[in-house]
Amino acid sequence: MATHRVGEANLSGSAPTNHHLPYAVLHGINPPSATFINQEGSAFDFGELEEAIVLQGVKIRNDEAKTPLFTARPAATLEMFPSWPMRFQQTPRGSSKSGGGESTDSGSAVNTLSSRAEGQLEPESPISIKPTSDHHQPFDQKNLQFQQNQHHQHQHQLEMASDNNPRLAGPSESQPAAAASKPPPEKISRKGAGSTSERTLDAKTLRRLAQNREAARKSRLRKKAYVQQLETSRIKLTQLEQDLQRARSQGLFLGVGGGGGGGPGGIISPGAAIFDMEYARWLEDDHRHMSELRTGLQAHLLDGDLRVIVDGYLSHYDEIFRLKGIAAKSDVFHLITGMWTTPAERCFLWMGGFRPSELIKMLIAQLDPLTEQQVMGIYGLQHSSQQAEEALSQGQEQLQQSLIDTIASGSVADDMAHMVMALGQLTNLEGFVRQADNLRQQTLHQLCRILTVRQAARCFLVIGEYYGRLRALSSLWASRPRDGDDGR
Amino acid sequence: MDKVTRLVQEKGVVIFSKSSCCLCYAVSILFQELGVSPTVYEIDQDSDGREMEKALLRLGCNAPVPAVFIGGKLVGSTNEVMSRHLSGSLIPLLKPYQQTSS
Repeated sequence: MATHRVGEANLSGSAPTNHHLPYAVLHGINPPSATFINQEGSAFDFGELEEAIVLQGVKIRNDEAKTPLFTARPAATLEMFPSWPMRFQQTPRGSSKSGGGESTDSGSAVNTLSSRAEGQLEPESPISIKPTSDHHQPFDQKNLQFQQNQHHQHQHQLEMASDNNPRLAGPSESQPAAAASKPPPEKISRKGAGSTSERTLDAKTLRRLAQNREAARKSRLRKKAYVQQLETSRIKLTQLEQDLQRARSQGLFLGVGGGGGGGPGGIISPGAAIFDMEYARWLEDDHRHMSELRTGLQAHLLDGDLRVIVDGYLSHYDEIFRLKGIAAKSDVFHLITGMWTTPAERCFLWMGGFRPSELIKMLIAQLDPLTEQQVMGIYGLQHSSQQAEEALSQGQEQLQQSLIDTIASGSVADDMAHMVMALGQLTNLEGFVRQADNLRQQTLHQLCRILTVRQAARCFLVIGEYYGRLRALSSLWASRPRDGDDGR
Repeated sequence: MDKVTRLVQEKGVVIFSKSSCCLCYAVSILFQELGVSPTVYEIDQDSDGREMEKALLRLGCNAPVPAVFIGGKLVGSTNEVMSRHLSGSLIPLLKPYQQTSS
C-alpha cells in the first residue's frame, strides 16, 4: 500500500506502482499536481513510464525535465514512446552504437516499430491521450481522470503494442521474467547508468520493457475488476442501509429481514438470500436426479439398483426440507409468502410449499396400474393428509386472528407491549411452516412405502416434471406477448 | 406423584397446551376431526403450570406443548402426532377413545 503522497495523488495497488513513485520523485520528475497518478484510473501505465524514462536517459536529469515529463509536445512524445503508434513520422535512431551488434538490432527494431505505427489505430501516445480531444493539451488532472471507455481503448492498444513488441526483441537473450518482476527503479537506474548518452534500444531492454508493459496491463485489469466489485458492493450496501433505515422507522413488522417484502427491487434478508441460493442449487440437483430416474427406468435396472436411485431422490427432498427448516428460523415470511418460488407455484402455495393432498390427487391418475391395496393406501394417505392440513390451516387461522386482535387493540400507551406480544405470536409461524414441510416430507416417504420401486421412480419423475412445467409456465407467462393498451 | 403423570392416567386422550399456542389448537382440531374429544390442559392457566412444564420437558418433549398422551403413554408433540397420522399409526391408538367411527 502506498505510504507516499505526491501532491494530491494517492497510490494504492500493486507493488510496481509503489516502486515507481519514489523513483519519479527521486529523479525530479514532477508531474503537474501529480494527479496523473490517479489510483482510480489505473489508466496510467507504468510500463510506459519505465520505458519513457529509459529512453530519455540523461534528458530527465537536465533542466528540460522541469517541464512535465509527459507534456505532449510532439518532440518529447516522439522520443519517449517510440514503440507507440504515432501520428508523426518517427526519426530513426539507430545511429549511435553502445557496442556490439545489439544496437543494430535495436535500430532496425525501432524502424520496424515506426513502420508499424502507421498500421495502428490510435495515433496518440498513451500518456497524453485522454478524454479531451485536444491532442496537445498539457498533462493535467483532467486528462488523467479515469474513463473506462478510453481505458478500454487504451488497453486495446497496449495489448496490440505489447503483443507486437516481444517479437521485436530480436535474437538476443532477454532478461527472464524474473527481471521484469524486480523493482523497476533498480533496472532503470542500472540501465540509465549504463547508457548515459545513449538512447538506443537494445533487444534485451525492449523485451523487458514489453514484459513490464504486459505485467502492468494485467495488474491494471485486476485492479479494475477489483474496483468494479467494490463499487457494486458499495452501492448494494448503501441500498441495504437505506432500506433498513426505512424499515426501522416504519416499525419492526414491516421491514426487518425484508421477509415477504422482498421481490423485485425489495431488500432480502441474508437468510432468505442464502436459502434462494441453496434452492437454486437444489433445482440443479433435481434436474440431475430426474435424468438418473429416467435413465434408470429406461434401462430396466434391477430393483436393487433402482432403489438406490429412488432413495437418492428421497434424500434430495429431505435436504430441501432441512434447508427450509433453517430458513424458517431466520425468515419465515420469505418461505410463507413463496418469494422463493415462481409466480405460478406461488399461486398454489399452501403454508410455504405444495399441498400434499393435491399432489397425491395429481399422482393417482398417473400411477396406474395400482393394486387394490395400493389404491387403498394412497387414498388413505390422501385422506389423512387432508385432515392434517385442515388442522394446521385452522391453527394458522387462529394465529392470524389473535395477531389481528393484538395489533388492532391497545391504546397508544401500551403500544409497545402489544407489539411485543404480536412478535411473540409471529414466532409461531415458523412452527406451522415446519409442520407443513413435515407433512410434505412424510407424504413422499409414505408414497415410497406404498409403491413398488419402479412405481416410486415413476412417481418421482411425474412430480419433478409437474413442477418443472409449473415453473416453465411462470416463465412463459411472464414473457408472453401482450396486446397494446386495449387491455385484452 | 407429579400432576402430569396423574392427569394422563385419568383420561384416555390428554393434550397439554398453552392458550397462546396455536399449534396446540391445531392438534386438538385434528383429534376432533378424528372423532376424539381430548382433554386439554392449558398449563399457562394452571397454578402448577411451571412444574408441569418442567415435568413435560423431563419426559422427553422438545417443546413442552403440545404434549399428547394416549392411554397414559406419551405420543409426542405436533410432529409425532402428524407423522403418525400420515403413516396410519395414529388411528389405531385412538380407536378405543373414538366417540364417532371415522
